[in-house]
Amino acid sequence: MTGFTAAFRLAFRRSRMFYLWWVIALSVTLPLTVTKYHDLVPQGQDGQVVLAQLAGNPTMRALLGPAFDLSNPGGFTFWRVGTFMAAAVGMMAALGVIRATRAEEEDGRVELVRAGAVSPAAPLAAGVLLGLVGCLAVAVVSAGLMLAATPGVGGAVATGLGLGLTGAMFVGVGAVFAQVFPSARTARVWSLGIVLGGAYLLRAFVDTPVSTPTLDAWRWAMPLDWAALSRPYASERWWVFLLPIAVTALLVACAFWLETKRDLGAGLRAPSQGPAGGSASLSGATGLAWRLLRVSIIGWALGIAISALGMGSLSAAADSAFSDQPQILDFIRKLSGGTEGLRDAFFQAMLTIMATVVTVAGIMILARLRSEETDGHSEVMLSTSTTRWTYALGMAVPAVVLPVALLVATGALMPVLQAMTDGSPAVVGDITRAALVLTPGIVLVLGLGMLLVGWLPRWYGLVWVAIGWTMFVSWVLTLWNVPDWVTKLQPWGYLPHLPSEPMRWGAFSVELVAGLALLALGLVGYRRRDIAGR
Amino acid sequence: MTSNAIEISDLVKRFGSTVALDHLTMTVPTGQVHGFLGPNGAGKSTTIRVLLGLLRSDAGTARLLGGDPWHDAARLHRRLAYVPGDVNLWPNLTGGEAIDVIGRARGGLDKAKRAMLIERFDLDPTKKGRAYSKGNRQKVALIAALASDVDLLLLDEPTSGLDPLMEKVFSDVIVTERRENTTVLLSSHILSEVEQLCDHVSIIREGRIVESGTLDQLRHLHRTRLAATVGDLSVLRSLPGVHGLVTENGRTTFEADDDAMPPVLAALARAGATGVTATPPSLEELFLSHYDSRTPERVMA
Ligand SMILES: Nc1ncnc2c1ncn2[C@@H]1O[C@H](COP(=O)(O)OP(=O)(O)OP(=O)(O)O)[C@@H](O)[C@H]1O
Ligand SMILES: [Mg+2]
Repeated sequence: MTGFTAAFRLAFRRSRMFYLWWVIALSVTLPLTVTKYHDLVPQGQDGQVVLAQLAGNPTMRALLGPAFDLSNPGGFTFWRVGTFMAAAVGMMAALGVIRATRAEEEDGRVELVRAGAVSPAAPLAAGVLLGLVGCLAVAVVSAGLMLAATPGVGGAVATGLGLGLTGAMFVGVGAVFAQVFPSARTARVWSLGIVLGGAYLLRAFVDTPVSTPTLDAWRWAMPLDWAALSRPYASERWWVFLLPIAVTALLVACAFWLETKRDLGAGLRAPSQGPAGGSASLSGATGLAWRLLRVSIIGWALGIAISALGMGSLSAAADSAFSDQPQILDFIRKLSGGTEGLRDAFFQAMLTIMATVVTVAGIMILARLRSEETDGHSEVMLSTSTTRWTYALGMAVPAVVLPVALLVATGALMPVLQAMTDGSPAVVGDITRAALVLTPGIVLVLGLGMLLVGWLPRWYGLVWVAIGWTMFVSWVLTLWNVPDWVTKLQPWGYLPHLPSEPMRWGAFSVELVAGLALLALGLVGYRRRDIAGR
Repeated sequence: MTSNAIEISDLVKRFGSTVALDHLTMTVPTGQVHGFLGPNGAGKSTTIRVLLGLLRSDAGTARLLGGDPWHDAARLHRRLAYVPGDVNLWPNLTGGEAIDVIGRARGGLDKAKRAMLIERFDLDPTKKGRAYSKGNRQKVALIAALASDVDLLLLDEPTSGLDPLMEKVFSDVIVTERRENTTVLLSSHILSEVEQLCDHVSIIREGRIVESGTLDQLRHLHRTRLAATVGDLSVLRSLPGVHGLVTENGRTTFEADDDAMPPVLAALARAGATGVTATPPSLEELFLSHYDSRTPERVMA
């Protein structure tokens, strides 16, 4: 393929930091967890009983997937974080491929590359290969670290393969969507929001109920379960890895085929026509923002509604399938933020996760305020009589309101099925209130985001650290005996977790006011600084 | 209202260690079509962005339509329209929608004028932003700017990417605007366009105005190239304002300062010169002498 080397070198240069950080973040989590096994699991027979019960708990199964051999540190670790980490590798892979292919093309840089003696498929091939190399790096580093941390060569290799090959499938997914859609944003939404998110949710459904032969069969249809089904540290089944390899090959081939079916800069579908003039609502900064955001707002609303109802349907199982052994409750408490009742623990664990997820919606809207600027659109709008204040609020308001509304909606929808089966509507009110109480965390993160947009626009990406740190704290750090204040040092850490905890107005109002103050400060910065053009 | 649409004095704008505008001073009287020329990176777009209140100046003052471009931005922007140097449309909005959203944000646009411009520029307003060619994107930005009735047009290389036919349409529209006393600041690299449209020209280089005046005035600042067949060169040699005297194959060529022309012509007549040609500096030469950073400025001015 002519020009492949040049294209690969270019892609590597532009994405090396991206992959470096992702690979580090993804490769250390499992080894860190495995070193804490003996602190977490009581020694002897007792410990094994606890673990068996734990693995049978539907909340845990929904979040973490099927368990095989928990008596072994490696097996426990893969169950505890492996499936989740594999999905995260998929996220890296899809984002990486899209940034090297469609995003570059959208910015007109591929045009420059292709103008040289480069075969049309070279940029795609470079992006795909780089993505696969990234996955390979995750596989090698995590296998190496696991090997150093706990005995079991086969287990370490299977762990690495599981992570890397799950990622490889999403190299394919990203590559396909990067051909289908003319915008990188849409390709990301489909790869992550719909395919990856949907696959995780579906596998939660299949994994939650206590296993039956039918369900076990269904589990094989869940690509995100394949890594676990290869049974790392529990007499590995190597042939399972043929499944992700086949899917990857199929998707990559499909991407290359689609590439030949489209024009440079275009998607698969010919661009459609539209109205010759703006409708009455397309007016002012707010009208424009709504027009730019409406598809993603509707998408988020639908996605969150489906997830909330879906998770709600699992709560009944959470309620019934558990005994009242104090050891188990203690364990659950550790894993889900200190709640006593099992059903509340379930709702609360879900709400905490969803708080982080919906905040991503807000972060992406604020990112739009930034990308509108670098795309040269802000310059045009701000040379009309639109004030900076109005313009920035056009994006900042939906950025805060949407995630807040989504979280409250999650709180209201999740317990609906429960309330109908029990005939106890009170639970809807309780969980909605619990969701409301978590909203200052959202405001705080977006306040931080607005602060960056206003004062250090080039560093806006730092706001993702708040999300990354929160996930790290709740998935990994809770297992360590770190001081309480460290695990609480995240946007939702100091907020009261209703209904098991009492309401603490102090923490709630302090965080809300802090978040709003950051938002205001960010807006002040936005009014004072230079607006970049293209 | 003041008689100057734009008044800039001693304006300084830095980006980190780059000095983009270095004590720039210029004035554009109301109703003038003012050409704004200079090499790449000279500071044209930066000047326009300071005037739009998008960039904050580091020193100096700028006044726009009698107001302060930074503090009165939103109010002043009702009365002006801007075409950016690098037009990028919203990929999912049609051209017609983009025109309307920009026009409405400015405070409304003239429907009849909008329709007339779409017709004249031969634009299909139903296409999505990402489907337009470069020239068509430029047309959308031009129509969005020209469809409102404003007092001032800030145009940053407005015809880049337009085909000659569309350039002609643009020129016609600007001529109409000039008749209606609209002030225009036109940054451009197309000299014929500037020559045709502009009353007055400012040349910017490395962040400062190096020359400003009508085209005739600028021509006078430059040397005329002469050629003749002369027997005795001594008269010419001794004249002040004569440069680069060379004789080849019996034909003498040299350059003369504008104010040295009467004595030079008289001397040529006295010496019985034949086949005399005098070429005033072409616009091209005039600008190139400023654009080429290797030429020291002093020699030309
Ligand atoms: N946002 C910015 N950050 C840093 N430097 C900048 C920025 N914008 C402009 N510059 C620098 O300021 C100088 C003037 O740039 P400007 O865009 O005003 O030039 P220009 O005259 O419009 O050039 P062109 O004819 O290429 O459009 C250049 O040296 C440019 O590199
Ligand atoms: Mg420019």
